[in-house]
Amino acid sequence: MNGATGFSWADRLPRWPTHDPFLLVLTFVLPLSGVVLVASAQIPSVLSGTSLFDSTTVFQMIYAIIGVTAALVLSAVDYHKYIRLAPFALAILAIALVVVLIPEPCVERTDAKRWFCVGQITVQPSEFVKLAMIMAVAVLAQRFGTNIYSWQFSIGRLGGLVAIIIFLVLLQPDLGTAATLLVSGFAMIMTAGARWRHLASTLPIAAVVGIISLNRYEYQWVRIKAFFNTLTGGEPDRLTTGWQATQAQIAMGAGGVTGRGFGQGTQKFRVSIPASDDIFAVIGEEFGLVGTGLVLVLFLALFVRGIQIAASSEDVLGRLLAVGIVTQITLQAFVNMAVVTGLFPATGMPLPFISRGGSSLLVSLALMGILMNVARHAKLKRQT
Amino acid sequence: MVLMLTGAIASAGVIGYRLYDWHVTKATQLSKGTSAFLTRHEIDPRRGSILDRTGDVLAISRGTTRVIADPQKTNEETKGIKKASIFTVAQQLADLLNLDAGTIVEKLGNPEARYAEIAREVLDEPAGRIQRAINSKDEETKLYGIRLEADKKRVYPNQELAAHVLGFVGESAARPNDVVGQAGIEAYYDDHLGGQPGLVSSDIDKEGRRIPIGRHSMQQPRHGSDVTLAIDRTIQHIIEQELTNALKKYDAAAGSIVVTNPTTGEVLGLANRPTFDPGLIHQYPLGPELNNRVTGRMYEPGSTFKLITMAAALNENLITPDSTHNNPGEMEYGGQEFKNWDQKTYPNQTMIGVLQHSSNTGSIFVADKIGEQKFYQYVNRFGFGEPTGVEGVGEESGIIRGYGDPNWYRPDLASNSFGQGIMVTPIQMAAAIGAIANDGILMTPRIASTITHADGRREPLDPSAVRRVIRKETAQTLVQMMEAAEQRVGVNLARIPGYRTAGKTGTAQIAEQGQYRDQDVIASYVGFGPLERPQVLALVIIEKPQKESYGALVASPTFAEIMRPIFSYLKIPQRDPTT
Repeated sequence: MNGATGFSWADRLPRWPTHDPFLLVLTFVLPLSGVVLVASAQIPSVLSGTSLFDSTTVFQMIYAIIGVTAALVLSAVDYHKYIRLAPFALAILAIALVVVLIPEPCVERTDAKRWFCVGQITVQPSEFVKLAMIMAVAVLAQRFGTNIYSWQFSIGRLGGLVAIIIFLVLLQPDLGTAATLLVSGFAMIMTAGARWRHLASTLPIAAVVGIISLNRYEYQWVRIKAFFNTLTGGEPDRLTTGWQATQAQIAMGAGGVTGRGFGQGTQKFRVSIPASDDIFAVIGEEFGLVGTGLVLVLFLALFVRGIQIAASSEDVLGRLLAVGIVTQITLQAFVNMAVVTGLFPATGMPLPFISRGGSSLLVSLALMGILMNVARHAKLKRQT
Repeated sequence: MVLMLTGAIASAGVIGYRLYDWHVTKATQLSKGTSAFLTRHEIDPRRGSILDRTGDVLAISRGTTRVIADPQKTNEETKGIKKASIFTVAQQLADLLNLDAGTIVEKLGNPEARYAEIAREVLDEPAGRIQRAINSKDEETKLYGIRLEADKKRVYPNQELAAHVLGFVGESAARPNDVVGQAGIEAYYDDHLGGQPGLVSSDIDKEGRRIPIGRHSMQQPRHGSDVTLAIDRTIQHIIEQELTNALKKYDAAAGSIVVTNPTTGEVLGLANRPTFDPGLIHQYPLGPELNNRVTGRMYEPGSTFKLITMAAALNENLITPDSTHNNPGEMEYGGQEFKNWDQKTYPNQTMIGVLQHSSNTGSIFVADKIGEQKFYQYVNRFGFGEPTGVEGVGEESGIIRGYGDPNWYRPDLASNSFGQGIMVTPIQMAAAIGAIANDGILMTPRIASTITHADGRREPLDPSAVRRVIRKETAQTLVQMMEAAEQRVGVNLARIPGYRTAGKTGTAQIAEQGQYRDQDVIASYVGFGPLERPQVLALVIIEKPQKESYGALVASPTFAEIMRPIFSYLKIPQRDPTT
């Protein structure tokens, strides 16, 4: 196409990129264990009449294949080439966040309007918003350069952008995602060089918005009350969310150190959403402390690796992306684990890579792909 | 960035600590939480049958059906349908079950009620038609809000036959669909008949549904054992029939007959009047019908007790059959007046004569010779004053106020010697006289003979001897005396042509509130045969006969009426017909 001659066709293909081996392993291992665990966690659905390997597991497998492929592609394609598009993508997704409020809820067991449904496939725009927001904040922060030191840019523009997105997510309502977006946005703006006092001044506003959001739905308070009740050693209220924590507790206790074995857990028949929010409890029962400990350590290691990559990246864009990506993923994972272990009120947050849900899996893997690409550039820069 | 790292590691630490706490420290305690998701439910065992000695069924459990209505459902579901109402449903049920439609309408009429029993013990055929009507697609004939529930029924195919032996069952408090024995063999052998319920336990999900993994155990129920009785349905039938006849003939209020094999203690038949149908037990109030008089009704044995007095004296070598006495027909003993029933004096009366004339003063002569200490020893050794241990519930001990009792006075020895002032049960009397027929060995009366477990294993209930009461020679001598005494009686209504039997009549007044009432007596006869080798003993008791009063006139003929067919049923050969 460019008319170059004297090269074999093979040389024109992009070279297989050198990858950060740890991230590459995680990219394969986490979604694979997710598929396996979802298969186990879906066993209770046989009681509702579906077959043992119901479509959920099959879909999870398909999403995992698509997601891993996407991660490999994104890890190979320089993010600088497309990151300019992020603000536009974010704008489109913002519209999607509004549009998703219009139809009736189409996913069972919840009144939240978070999903578009096309046949059996559900799409959750708020998941994709994570990806777009992290990239948009990164690209804008880079553009602002040293302007970031002024509050008009740090708080006014970037903060404003994050605030709008959070506001739209709160409308669904999806408090958990909103909170993780707030933290990862915060982390990125801070990393970009915003002043502490500027950022700190937004905290009261965030607190007020948080309380107002909690007040919109009675169940939010019920969850929080149930949480504090369990914290103070009170009997968990079996009818509300205390139930979930109690069942997870039993699952962990039954799992012990090495677990009851794959597929052998019975608590998945008793927790609320075994394949999604409560999959960590399923891991706890079937694989014991070995399983849950490993998952915890892997996410912490991912975070540490991400910060390492950020630190070694001389490119502001790369650094911001790395911080945003690992903050988002790890925070989500930790919140999910904290909820399951009764350390945090229920939020409806899936465990990244592992919980059932195509949107979450695709976005997490895409973030992983970008992180690997950032890692590659960081390394290359160091090497040259 | 350092801050973020610190935060992440700290968070991981907190979560990690929590994981360790739950997975390790509190694991044992927490895992107990799974037991809340273990359901257990019992599977009712099949109740064993009660069979007679030939294997005929006397009591058996059968599955039946109960028809249950959910009136709220009936009212709601029929509301929207033109052709259906609670009245059409009631009318249909009434037709299918042969019940009154009005009663059913009343039950269906309360739209708040969720449970109403329309009928129980419904047979398979109507139950099938009701089931079809429940499933019916036809709006007009569908039975709205009606369902069938499995039920169990205890069936007594022979109705009143051996009612007091069998007893009856009632609803079990422990298991709602099961029954528990409440009287008779049903109660006494309830542990064997009832079996052990099975247990299904399995893990369930939060909705209470069984889950495909986890704990699941099923313990099969141990079905009840069958109990085979010593009772023979034919003998039972004979005595039931003759008891009814006797009561009618002498216009008596109540009565009992017990037939045993004196050599084994086996009870071959046991009948009481009034009686009841154990299958319809709920129709009987807690009245005299339910009382097994053979074991639960104490009476004064009267002259039949003279055999005990005579046995004691013979065994102590104080008398021989030919010893004589000269007590007058009326005499004083210990400061109290006693007289013979005929008030006659028989000079130089032999001991056989004492039995022949059933002489009270002769009996006093014998008791006086024995002395109070020995006399009551023998009374006790014959089993009076304590339960015989026969199977059933509510067996009475009798009342013996013997020597040594602060309320015992010397004249009591005299009255007790001819069966007054003491209370015994018919089964005690049958057992004691059985000892005389059994060469002096007292046997425990036994109603059941074999327990057949659900797995086919048979557990025989062997006869058990209580003790030797008198020497063999004493017993044989006494039997000879009894036979001789009866032969000398002019008209012996207890006599059975072709067989040698021995027995004794008894007539006792009924003491009520400490006063004997002349007009009300208990007439009895106890006897056994054939004397070559006694195999059958019968005690006949007729209470308050209005037409006649003496045991010799009331109870003796009944003894003959039952023994004749029993001997022939048991194929006991007649002796040389010429004699």
